[in-house]
Amino acid sequence: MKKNLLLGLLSLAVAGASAQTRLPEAQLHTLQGQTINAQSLLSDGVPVVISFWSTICKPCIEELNAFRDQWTKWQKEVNFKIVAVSVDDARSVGRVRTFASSREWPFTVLLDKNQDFKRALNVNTIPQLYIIEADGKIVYSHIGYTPGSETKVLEVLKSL
Amino acid sequence: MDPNITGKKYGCCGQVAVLVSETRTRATAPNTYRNNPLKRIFTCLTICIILAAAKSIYAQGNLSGSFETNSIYYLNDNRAGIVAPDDKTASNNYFKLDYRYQKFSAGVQYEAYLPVLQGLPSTLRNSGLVFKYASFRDSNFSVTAGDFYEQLGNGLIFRAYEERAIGLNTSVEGARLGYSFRGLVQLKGFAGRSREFMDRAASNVKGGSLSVDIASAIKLEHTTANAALNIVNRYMGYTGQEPIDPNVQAYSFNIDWAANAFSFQGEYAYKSKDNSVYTNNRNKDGSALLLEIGYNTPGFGTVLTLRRLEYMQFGSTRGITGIGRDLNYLPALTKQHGYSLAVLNPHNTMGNEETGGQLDIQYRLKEGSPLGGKYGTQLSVNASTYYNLRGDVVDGYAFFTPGNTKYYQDINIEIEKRLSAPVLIHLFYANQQFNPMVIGKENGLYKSHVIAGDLRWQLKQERSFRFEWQHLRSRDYQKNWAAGLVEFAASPAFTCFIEDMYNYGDSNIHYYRLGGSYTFSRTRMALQYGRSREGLICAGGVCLYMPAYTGLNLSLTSSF
Repeated sequence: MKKNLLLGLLSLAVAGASAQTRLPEAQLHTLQGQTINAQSLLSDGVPVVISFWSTICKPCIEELNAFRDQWTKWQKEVNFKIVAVSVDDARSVGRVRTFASSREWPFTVLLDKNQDFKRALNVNTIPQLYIIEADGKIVYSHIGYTPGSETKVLEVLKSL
Repeated sequence: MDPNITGKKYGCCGQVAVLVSETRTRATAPNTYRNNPLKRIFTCLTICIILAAAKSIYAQGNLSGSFETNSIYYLNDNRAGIVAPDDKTASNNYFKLDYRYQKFSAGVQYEAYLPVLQGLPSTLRNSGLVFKYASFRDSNFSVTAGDFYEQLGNGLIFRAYEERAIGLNTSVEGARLGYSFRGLVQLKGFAGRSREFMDRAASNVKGGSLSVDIASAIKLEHTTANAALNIVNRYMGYTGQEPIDPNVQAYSFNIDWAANAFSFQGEYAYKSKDNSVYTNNRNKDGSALLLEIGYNTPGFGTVLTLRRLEYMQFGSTRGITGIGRDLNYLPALTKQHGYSLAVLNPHNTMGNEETGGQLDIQYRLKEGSPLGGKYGTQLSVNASTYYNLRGDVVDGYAFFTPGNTKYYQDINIEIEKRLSAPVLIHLFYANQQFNPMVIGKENGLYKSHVIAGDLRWQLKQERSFRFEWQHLRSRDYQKNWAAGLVEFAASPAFTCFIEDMYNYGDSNIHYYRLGGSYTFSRTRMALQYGRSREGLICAGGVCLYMPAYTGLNLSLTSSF
């Protein structure tokens, strides 16, 4: 019965619903152990680049290093912030802080220890990147990283 | 490998168990699921939440979802002695839908195994709506009815999660409540049944946690400090003659603290007596301790992790544990390498008795410094080692002191260096020792040296090549290996690669693969053809033995 009810609910929802266009609710943790809500990422009133990564994902780290290398230059061109969301679980989450500190990433790093935020955004593969406008609207998303794809991110940010 | 045919399973805890015992144990448990009061509560809660949500259903909501398929067409391969299964194709498929309207959300996940990929649990069969939920979340209150994922502390006593690469999903079907008092005190409680492949485990699980933000409560500045108390109960009825308690309790207390560059976290866990197949039917209680100390400043980071485990395997039933049958999460605390030859023999946690630790140091030589050069240099050093606990189950175990059996050791160093604007290199060395005892074989040590490196060469802004080379030298087991890879990427959409992994000294077989991928926005399609070796594959710290195969692999993932 519950299966039918849920299916009915979803069928009805299709008529009035839009695709995932807004930042969902989810809890995240800071590297210091504080709990924050995903919505608070929008509190600065500037566009946010969210990049899902993990310490065992080489392309993810290459992408974040590329953002670090371009950070100062880009900040002069457009006002935005980057949030690197680690999906490392209990096996490797202890290494996230050493990763971020030693690489001197100048942006916010958050923990999604049991992947609640990742699931809420339906992320199946990392790295996956989102650009979110200050009002919470998702305007761009991309799976994977290859050298040079960070220029598209700047292009989108400039167009906002 | 089919655990139902062979009766063997290599779980996360290096355990080999006989399925006959599991069948006997499960048969003794009355199947009370249909008359379960938890199920009735869950159904009522689901209906209430759906009715409340339905009031707003015609208003503008948000429907999102994802689709993922991983399909293989298997081929016979006489050279490698690989025989394709009778059904030449296998396909794992996942379709997820979530609906959100303001504070309400509901969703389903449909899975279809047509049939399941070779090597994954064959109990994943057919198809079904295996995950469905409805929930309400306010700023300080949340309620979920249906299926949910959850973790308490570091997962030493409970973790419900999904890892599709190895066919693992231990979500709980039931109800969950959460309440936050001014952000200072968080309360959480849940009850339900763990998923066991396409069915539910023959046990009820209840749990909860109370966590306190100590630093905020006493207004400490520049410091964070949290403490949490976690509890889990597994009830599995028993009507036999043996002195088996149907209830097993597990408790843990964890604390974390960070001030300036220093951080510390610790968790102690205790599990009451658990007469199960995975404890060799010893009516033995268990305990665990996890300590982590870190020091991090800009350009430098280090963390030391220590863990001891004594009879901490915790199955969703009293049968065998392993992939998809665990209530808790005891991953191997070792570095997960990106080079394929460095993960030929990964560690498998020995949950019944293990002690050891891991040290990770990362340092960045600054740009412009004599050693850092123009672009800077990244250094990473990592070392981990694990032993058995001194003592035995009769006379008791030492608290941290290791015994004489080494399970695993890995000492490795990695250097990342940009030579010029378009050229980036990585160099890697690892000295590894692996005891096959952790996957149920004879006590011994496979020793190996792995040297690897790769070079990324960016031709233009959007075009790049990556060249990778690896070598493993060993006198043990399968002796020596060599591997090479060439990859081309046209950013941001297209990549293709060709690689070969060659064993010399034992089988002398080439494991070649070639393939490509195309990405468009939130959709990625990848096609690969080649031969894959047998061995353990690990995802999220849990390992599964996979047989060798030759074939064509198509994977597609998309979200909307």
